[in-house]
Amino acid sequence: MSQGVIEFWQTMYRNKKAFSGMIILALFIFMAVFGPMLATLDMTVNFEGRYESPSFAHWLGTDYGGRDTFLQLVYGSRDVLQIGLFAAMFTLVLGFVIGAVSGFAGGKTDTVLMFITNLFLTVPSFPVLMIVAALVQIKNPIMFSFILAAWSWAPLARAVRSQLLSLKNREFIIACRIMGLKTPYILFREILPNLTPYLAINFIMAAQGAIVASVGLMMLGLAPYSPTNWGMMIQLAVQNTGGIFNPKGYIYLVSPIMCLGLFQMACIFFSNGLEEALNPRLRT
Amino acid sequence: MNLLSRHKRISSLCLSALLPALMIVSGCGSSAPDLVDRLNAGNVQDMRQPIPDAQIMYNKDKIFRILGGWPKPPLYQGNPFGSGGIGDNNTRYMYEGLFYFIRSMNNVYNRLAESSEDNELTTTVHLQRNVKWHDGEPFTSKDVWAYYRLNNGAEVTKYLTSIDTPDDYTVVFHWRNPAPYPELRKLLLAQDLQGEIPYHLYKKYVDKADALLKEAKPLTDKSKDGPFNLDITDDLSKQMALNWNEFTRSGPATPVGTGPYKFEKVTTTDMLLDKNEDYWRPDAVHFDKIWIKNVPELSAQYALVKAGKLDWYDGTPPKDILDSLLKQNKDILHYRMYDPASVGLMYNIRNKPFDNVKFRQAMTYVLDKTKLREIGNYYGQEYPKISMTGIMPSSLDKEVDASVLNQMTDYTTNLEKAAQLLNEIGWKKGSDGNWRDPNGKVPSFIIGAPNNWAPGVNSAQIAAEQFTKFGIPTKLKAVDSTIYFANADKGQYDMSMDWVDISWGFQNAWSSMRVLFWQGTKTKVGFPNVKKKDANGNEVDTGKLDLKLKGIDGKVYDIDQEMKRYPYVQDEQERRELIANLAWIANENCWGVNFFQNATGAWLNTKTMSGDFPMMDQIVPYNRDMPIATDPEEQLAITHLNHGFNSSYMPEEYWPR
Repeated sequence: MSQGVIEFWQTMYRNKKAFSGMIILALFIFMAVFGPMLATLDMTVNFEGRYESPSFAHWLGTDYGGRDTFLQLVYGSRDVLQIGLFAAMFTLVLGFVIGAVSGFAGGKTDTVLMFITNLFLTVPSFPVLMIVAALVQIKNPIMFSFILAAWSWAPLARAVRSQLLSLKNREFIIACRIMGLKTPYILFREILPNLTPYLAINFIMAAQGAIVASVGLMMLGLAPYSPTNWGMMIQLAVQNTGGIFNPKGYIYLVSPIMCLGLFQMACIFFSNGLEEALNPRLRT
Repeated sequence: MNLLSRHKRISSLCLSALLPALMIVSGCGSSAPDLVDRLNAGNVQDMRQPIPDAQIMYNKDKIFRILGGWPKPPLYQGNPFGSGGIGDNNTRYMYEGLFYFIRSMNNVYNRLAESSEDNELTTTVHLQRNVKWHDGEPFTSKDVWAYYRLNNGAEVTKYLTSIDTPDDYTVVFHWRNPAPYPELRKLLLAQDLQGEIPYHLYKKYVDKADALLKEAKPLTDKSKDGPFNLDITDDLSKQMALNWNEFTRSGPATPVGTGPYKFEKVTTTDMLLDKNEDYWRPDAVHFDKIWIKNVPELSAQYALVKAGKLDWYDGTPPKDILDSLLKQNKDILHYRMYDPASVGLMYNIRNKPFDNVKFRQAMTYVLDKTKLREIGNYYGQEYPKISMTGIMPSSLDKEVDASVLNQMTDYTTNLEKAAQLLNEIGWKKGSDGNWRDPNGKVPSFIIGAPNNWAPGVNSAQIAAEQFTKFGIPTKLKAVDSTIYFANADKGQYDMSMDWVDISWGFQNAWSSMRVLFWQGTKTKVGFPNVKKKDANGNEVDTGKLDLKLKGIDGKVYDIDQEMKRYPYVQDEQERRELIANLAWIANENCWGVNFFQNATGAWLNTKTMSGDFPMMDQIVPYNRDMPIATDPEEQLAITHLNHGFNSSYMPEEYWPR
């Protein structure tokens, strides 16, 4: 194992927040990958068994249709993580490439790319998504993630451009230019490593943003309705329990909120550690 | 200094101990006996009749608080036909018609009509004499005439030849020959609010429309429709549309009707209506103001009900929420009633394999309607035997003879039957549990539903799960309602959710069949239309239904002709046979599934409002959660409390308390 990797893990281990975040994320990934293999979710309605309290048979009780809440969370985690990770990846690639090219190239390229970026920042997403919903049929999580990313890359592109404007005049970049190295090489081999901590944090934030936004797209009809998606579970819980008006449904209502909260908290903790591990200036 | 601060501390301690005690004591003192307490104590005077102002305890300002929606200012305008209208439910407080009807029960009452009489080809209506528009002008027969000359797309005009106004207070409707049967004539008139187009405000547009109608020639082709039996050419139609569009943009800024309440003011969240002091039935109006709140979020609506901030609320939430609200606010009284509408799914017969009746029937056999109803609307009523008949299921026994009902295919859940039908059309079940079509492909179907319709979305999700579990992978798309209906009408989904077996207007079997064969269900199912060639040889869709199917007697019927024939059939038995045949055809062809007939409710805040509550002897035993009435008189009384099933307003039904 290289020295860098060892140092990375040591930093992560020393940072208690980051370590706990990493453990929680690992648990969620384990849940998403292996959970559905270990237990079967039966979504058949059992109305008499609705809103049951937690028990050995139903760890987090049951929902408004008598279905197991915990198993819904387990099955939903695959959906949630898939959408979150793909959307974050697309956001990152789009945001970095557009921001970096814009900042590095400057001139007309910068003007055009920033015009497009500003357009995406200012055009309200709702009416555009309505049109997209009428035109596009989402058939897989990748396409779903791409549409989510289409409205989240712009702030990142602007931020990357700003970072790049400061980096490109540093001595080591000027040296690269004098040496005649090509732009893609400079961007990906010299600049990208300097932006890694920033991008890593954005990756995590984009993932959690996409999970929340995915519910909105489902409710627009852009994507098929997934009742085990955590965000959708919250929506269904509020709709069927009236939020706070059905005390029997509190556990069902709180469970996906807790799960989503825990996931977001883990992401934030983990990204905090990532920054420390990847940004040499923060290491003591 | 220290002493002073110690004194201060002691006094503040005393005060903090005293304050909660005072609050508790004052709270106890002001707590009023709840509805059950009052009924147990026999304290029911204010439930028999309105009480004098001096005795009003909880609603001294005499305000009736409800929910509603309207175009937000500055878009708000006073023309009910203008863009967005004047608000969905608000029309009924400010406008009136000659008659009004109870949507679920077909009772028709006089309103602006004092009386009416039918002759063979005429209906003469005598108007109330002391009716004034909100701007003080008298309401006369000219206004009724103006309503139909301008709004000549109103359905009843297809059955009329002319409208005469022999004097200011008499209107004579002349029917085409043959005329619709007498009961239908009144229902056709009762579905309009004739007091919506004051002639003195819209003279310019009414006279223009009248002049255009006078240019039209009488219809010679009996199979065609036209207002007042006139043949409206394309050119005339364009001019009329232009005139209508100008009318809808002509204002006024605030509504002018004849109803019991006048518009006072509107904001984004609130609308205030003021009692019409010139109202022609002054004794019928007991509230001074109506305060309408615009609260779209369901949870916020429940919060208002719970807090007693609404006096009347329409709808029935999921069972556990309903139980919880009744438990938390002991002044609430909730009446349930059947809705003349069912939640259902329609197959898109434009898409394969839904064009195959056996496939549709197989899908229908898969569904367990009890589970769909439990999740969609617990208090609804499922009818497992039928697919979709075009008739409100609760009146199927009344409308269709038992001999016909017995010949209808029974679609009660039957997975073996579903498998057998699929096998018959070449489908095979794979080792993974999924069915494959004759080409070996596993299907993947989409059910579309409007996202803001909880009963539809919830039950459709269960249906998708039932299909998937059976081996036909199906997903639900809950689509934003602003685009859903256009998408569904264009056939974008394999299956679409909407109200089915419903009558939006008066309730008779033909009315709900119109929705099936001519309106919303038709477009979602995708029934074919008659096509014809235009002058250039291009194929043109006429919009006229092209559906010829075998009836119960084995003969082939043109459905469009049968539907058009119905209003003119004078013999009741013949009408019953016609309807029974169409219901049988609909059930056998299985174009959709009636999941369950909806149940809705009226919530009454008995602390601030009172009324002559029906089934009063059952309020205590049922602890204010009233069951669906079985006695027709009680059913009617409950629909009165629910504003004629949310289609009218009966100010005399409630009073402040």
